[in-house]
Amino acid sequence: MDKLSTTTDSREQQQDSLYDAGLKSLVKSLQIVFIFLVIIIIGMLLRFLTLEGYFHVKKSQEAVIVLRFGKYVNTFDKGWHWFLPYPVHQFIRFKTNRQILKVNFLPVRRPGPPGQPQQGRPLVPGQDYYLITGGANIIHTEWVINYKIIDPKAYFENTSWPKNPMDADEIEKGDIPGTRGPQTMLRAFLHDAVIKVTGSMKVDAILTQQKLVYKNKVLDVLSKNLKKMNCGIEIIDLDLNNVAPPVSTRGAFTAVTNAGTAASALIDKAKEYKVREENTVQTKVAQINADATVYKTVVVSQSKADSVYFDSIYKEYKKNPDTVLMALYNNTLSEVLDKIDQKYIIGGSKSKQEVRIKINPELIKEKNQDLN
Amino acid sequence: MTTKNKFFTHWPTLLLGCIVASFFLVAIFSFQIDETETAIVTTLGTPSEKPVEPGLHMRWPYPIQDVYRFDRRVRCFSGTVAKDGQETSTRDNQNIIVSIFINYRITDAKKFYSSLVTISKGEAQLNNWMRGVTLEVFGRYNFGQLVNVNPKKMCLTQIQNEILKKLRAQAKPSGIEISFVGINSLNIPESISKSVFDRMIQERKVEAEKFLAEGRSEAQRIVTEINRKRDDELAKATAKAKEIRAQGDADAAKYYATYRKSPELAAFLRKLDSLRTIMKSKTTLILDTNSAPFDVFKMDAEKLKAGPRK
Repeated sequence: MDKLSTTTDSREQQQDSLYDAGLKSLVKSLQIVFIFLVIIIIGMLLRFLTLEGYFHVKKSQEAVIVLRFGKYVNTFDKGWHWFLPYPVHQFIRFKTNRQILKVNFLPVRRPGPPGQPQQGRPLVPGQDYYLITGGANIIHTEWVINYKIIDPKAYFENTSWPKNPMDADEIEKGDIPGTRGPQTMLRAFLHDAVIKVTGSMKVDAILTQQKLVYKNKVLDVLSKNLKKMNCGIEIIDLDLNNVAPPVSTRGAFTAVTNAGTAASALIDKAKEYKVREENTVQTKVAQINADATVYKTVVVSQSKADSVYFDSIYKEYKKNPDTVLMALYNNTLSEVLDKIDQKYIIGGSKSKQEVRIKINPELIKEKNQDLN
Repeated sequence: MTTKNKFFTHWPTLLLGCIVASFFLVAIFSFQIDETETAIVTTLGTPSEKPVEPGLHMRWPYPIQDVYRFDRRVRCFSGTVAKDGQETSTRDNQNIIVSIFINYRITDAKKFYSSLVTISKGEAQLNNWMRGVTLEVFGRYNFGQLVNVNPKKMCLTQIQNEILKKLRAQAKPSGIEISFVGINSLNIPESISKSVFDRMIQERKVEAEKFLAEGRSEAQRIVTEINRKRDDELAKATAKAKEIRAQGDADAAKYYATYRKSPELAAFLRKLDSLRTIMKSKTTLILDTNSAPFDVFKMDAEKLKAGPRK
């Protein structure tokens, strides 16, 4: 009996020692796991307290706003900084460099029959975008807004920015889908400014000589409205990249431009004629005056010379009239006859035979030499 | 080993455990409100009297207390008609398609929570108000007061202010402040746009004709004017020239007085001058023997001896 109980006791002891060994192994492995977990926790705590609190701000491109338990602390626009990380501090990063937003009032390009243009197709609101001018005409425009955040604190407090402020506006997918954010607001403000200014101007003024005035008016309205909102955004510049009438009407607008050019050409031609005629008239007037003056000079000089000649002849004529007359006559006749090519003297007798004498006929040889 | 000994042996582990536990406790029993938020704390469903200001606050955990946060920044909202617009008629029965946008913010979180609860429901309500007010206000103006080159007749700003006033009155009891109302789009129905194109083309044709007519008229005026001036100046110059010639003749005539001494001699000398002027080259002259000096051909020898008769 004792032997049996001894055997049972030793078997139980063996089982107890096996059980103790298993427990010891389990405890040991749990201790190892625990130590491992402690190391991880300490590592996370160290990382949390050191690296998570560091941030760097790129100068002229970013600004970082620091909140302590949600309250505003400061705005940083350059350098390295450290604060206790979340949940004590939050760091919100904004872009402060120049940003661009494009806004278009254009028709959508819809596929149609090949080769057929979009002319004559009516505009569908909601798909095609356009503006109505002061004379109830239609135009299309393309705008580019250049803007930047100049007051990060005002922007942070007053403007609804997305979860990550560096991203584009968020798209709400709830009951009323659409984007919400600063770009949405800017786009809406530009729509408002453009619609108002376009509706107060004539189409021809916008398309031609007052394009710059149009753009500046829109910029003025846009800037004023943004300033009222105190949203920390400033418009650097507004570009009007394109302004055009609807496709269907472009031919008619071109015809107006061509008509203007043709009208200017007609006027220029008339002015050219005017200049030419003015010069011609001046020349003719001068010529007429000169001719008259020359005539006067000549006729007076001639008369004076004639009177002097007459007086000198008269002196001699008084002394011997017949002789003077004959001498003058013969001198004149000989002078005149010398110039005349063909001279004939015919007889004055009453006989049937007529004598004709040719005076100083030209020799044929001399004539040929003269011709050569 | 005694309990006290066990404590001193395992104190780092206990300390670490306390730190982690305290983080969890702080997280459960506190909450933060950002500068951009406003919040309402409900205690067993009853909202607090005043909204919670930005910062760290203590609270009991859910379900005892709950925190409802609302963004208090300005949101730009255009409603369901942002893209397509809302068709309405003006006072003079012109159909237009218009959409507006508003900038709003939640200024009273308690009122907002009591009436609208969430942003989504709030915007749905705003959308309804916006549609109603838009129809009402635009329907009181003529089309010519929406677009007009005469600034005195253009009333878009007035329309915006009227819509803003009405919406503010409607939204204020819900804790919403509307700071701006703007026009998002102003269009005409598709069926009317075609007739607008035709009208624009016709107007441009008239404009082109007008330009050409004005150009022709101006060119004609310039030509007529210069022709008139030319004829005028030539006539004046001709008249002046006549005067000069007359003056010359008059001056020359002063010298003719000397011819009174012997008019016959003067006439004879004039004839001789005329002969010189008229008789030039390429002329054929026929004289007979009755003309001097060729009359010598008729004289016989006896007469030659005697000499010419006195």
